Amino acid sequence: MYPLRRVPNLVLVLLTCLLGLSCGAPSPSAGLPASLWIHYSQREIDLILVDQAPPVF
Amino acid sequence: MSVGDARGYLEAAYPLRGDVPQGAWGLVGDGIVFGTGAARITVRFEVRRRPAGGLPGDDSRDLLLASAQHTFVRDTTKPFSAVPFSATVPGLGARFVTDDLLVYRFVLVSGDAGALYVLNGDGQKTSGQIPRLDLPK
Repeated sequence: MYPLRRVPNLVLVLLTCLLGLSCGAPSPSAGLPASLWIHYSQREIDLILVDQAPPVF
Repeated sequence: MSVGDARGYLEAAYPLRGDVPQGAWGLVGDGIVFGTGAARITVRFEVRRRPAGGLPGDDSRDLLLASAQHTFVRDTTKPFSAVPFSATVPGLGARFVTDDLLVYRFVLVSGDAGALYVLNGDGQKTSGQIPRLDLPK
């Protein structure tokens, strides 16, 4: 059993964790990168957008 | 993509994975101008949001988020170097919907007969940048 005096500490730890999780929660735009680069696939007319600067063609 | 092409545009897509806020879009479109005797070509850069569910290439339900236009003039002293283009333009945002696409389209508007615009996939090798989109923050 937890000693009673430890309960406030436990609550404090839990609150700190919850606060940390909420601050680190992804925003709606977190799934998108800051930039998207054009990248050639097999043929010139087949272009894709990639989220990292591609190697030169 | 050359003057006289039936299609008249190129585009690339990326799956929308989150909300895009309204704001400043950065458009980089460095390109190389080819064509015997051709020096000028005008290209319009468009950012589109394409709803899911259409056939491949179906742009009938696209929403234009941002656009800019530029006339590339070939430097005759460096004919195979990239001609730079970059702009920051205000544009719309896009709310996330699964399977919707973000599309970067390059539309050939006009140019000298036989002029050809090639996106600068060579980056710094041709003294330019690889074309890209900078999303609003």
